[in-house]
Amino acid sequence: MASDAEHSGTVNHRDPALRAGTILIDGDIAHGIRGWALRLALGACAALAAAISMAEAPVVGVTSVAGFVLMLLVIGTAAAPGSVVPMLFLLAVVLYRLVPNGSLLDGGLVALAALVPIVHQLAGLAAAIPVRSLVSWRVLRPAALRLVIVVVPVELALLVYRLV
Amino acid sequence: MTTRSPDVDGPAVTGAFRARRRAARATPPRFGSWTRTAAWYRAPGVAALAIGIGLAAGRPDLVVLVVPLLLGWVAALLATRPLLGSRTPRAALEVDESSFGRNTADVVTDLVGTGGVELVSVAQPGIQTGPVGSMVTVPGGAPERSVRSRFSTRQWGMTTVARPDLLGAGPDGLYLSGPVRHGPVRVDLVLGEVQPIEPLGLPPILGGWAGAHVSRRPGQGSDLVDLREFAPGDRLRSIHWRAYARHQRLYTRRTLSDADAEIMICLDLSVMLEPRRAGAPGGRAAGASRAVTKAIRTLLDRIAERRGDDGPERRRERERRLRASSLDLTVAAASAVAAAHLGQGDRVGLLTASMPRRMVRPGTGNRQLQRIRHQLALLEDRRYRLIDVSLWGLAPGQIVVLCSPMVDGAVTEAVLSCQARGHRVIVVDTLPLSGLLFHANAHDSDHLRVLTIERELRLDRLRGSGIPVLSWDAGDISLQMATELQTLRRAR
Repeated sequence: MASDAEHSGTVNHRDPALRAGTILIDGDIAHGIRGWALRLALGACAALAAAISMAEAPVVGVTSVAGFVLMLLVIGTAAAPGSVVPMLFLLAVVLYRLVPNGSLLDGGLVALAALVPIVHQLAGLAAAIPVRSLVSWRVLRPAALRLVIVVVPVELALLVYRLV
Repeated sequence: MTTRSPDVDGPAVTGAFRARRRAARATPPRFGSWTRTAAWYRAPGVAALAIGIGLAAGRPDLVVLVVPLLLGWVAALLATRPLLGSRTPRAALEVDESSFGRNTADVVTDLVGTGGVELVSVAQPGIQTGPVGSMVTVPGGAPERSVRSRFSTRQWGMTTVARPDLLGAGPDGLYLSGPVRHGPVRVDLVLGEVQPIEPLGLPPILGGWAGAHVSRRPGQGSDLVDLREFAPGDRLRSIHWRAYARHQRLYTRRTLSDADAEIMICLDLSVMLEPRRAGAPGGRAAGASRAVTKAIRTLLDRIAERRGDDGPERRRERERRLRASSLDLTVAAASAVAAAHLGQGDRVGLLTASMPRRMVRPGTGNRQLQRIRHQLALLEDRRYRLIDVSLWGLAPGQIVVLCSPMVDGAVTEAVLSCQARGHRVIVVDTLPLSGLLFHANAHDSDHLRVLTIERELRLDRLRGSGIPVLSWDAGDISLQMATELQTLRRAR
């Protein structure tokens, strides 16, 4: 274990690209977003999913206990993405779909089918990234790629089904 | 950075420092294995429930709703395969030691073992923000990543320069390694800043043949005493031609020899005083309030700095000054006096007037300044017993600059004893009075009042004996020295 505490020695040059307040990753200046921006995005996606769920189930109402709980879950998802709250939120979204609204494969389902995995992924990433960390854009690329690969075929299938 | 210089007496690194440094380097970082997160269980849990309800209630839309979620989870799991069984990411540090003279250094953190990792968050040092000033999240993929940032500090002494706390994550945050705190810590000796001051205007020195100061010995120099008639053997360049023009006779200038000074900076470490540190009020509400206030102030400072306003920097500087201890002021004063006099060619040495005795023999040049700064950086905030003046090891003719908070009667006696031994003594008062008063509560104020009165009596006694007393806390000690010398001249 002691070998993990590596002190490789000294660097005898200064990188001219490194200015006050900047960080270089593999020699390039790090650009990206802050960790809290991920949580904001997560909150926005969760709020959108909640809004669509509520709109799809008008009989429940926004001012009901269920609506209030859903709003609390949205806030909790953004505030504590590493906890059980995002799971409860997704379950609440699923349960909202149980309320009969006539059409089963409607536009709301198309939107929610994309938003649910986005909320899941953003919650996973936001829980793993410190709030004040500078997140390089390249960090988000693999997750975005997986999301596109998974969501796009399902969305296309739903759209084709609706058109047919 | 802590190699012992051959001209430095006393231990270059004390036992306590060695032990602390060894402990910091040998602390085994807590690198664990990959652990599942809540995200790992979330997707299958939600999907199972939705599919179950959908099948039971005959609602295919519920199944369709969670299909992308489940597929995404499977895709993330497939991407996780190279991660499992592999070592968690770890960090190795490199520090540009050559740049520590200005207390700034480039720190390179090499992240190893990031091959199958999705992202790694690592703490980075910053400008005046300490070893964990900021965090950066870098992508994995490559087996090794390099993060470079710049560290700067106003502290001195053994300082934690970098502490790359780590947090690794697998795809979609399904797996986490860490957080690794207090892993490979880099602790280095940071030398104190040297504040530029003018050299102290010293009174005439008794001996010497060359240098930057006026002496009392007649000889080749710049300070004119009088004129005398030209005699065979006198140098032609010393003829006073204006006197010749007036009197048509040759006169030569008589001057006092220039002299160099040998200055011994003595440090009084028998007492250490620092402003009271206000205890933070407890409770979550108070903590949250402090955090919000700090965040608002930081935001306003950033806005002001972007406008080019130097107000925030001046405020921070004032706050730093008000937090300084007597040891901080002693180190600042000693390094400033040493730099100023070494800069004009004087010989300057350093010794501690307390146990354990440390000494840098008088010398000249920039290397001597580095030796002195190095010894100053090794000082500890402990109280030591003042040793007798006869054991200080002062050579005859040395000018003693004593840096002391002057709160102890024994120091006053030591100063007078020094003077009685024929040394010229200059006292630099390093009591952080403004900081003590600023942070004092009602109880402290009474103590400070008594302390100030006692100190003033002692300082008056020294001034009455012809010893200049300069206050580092009041600023511009060169000007104070000139004023003190003028006062002493008038008194004679």
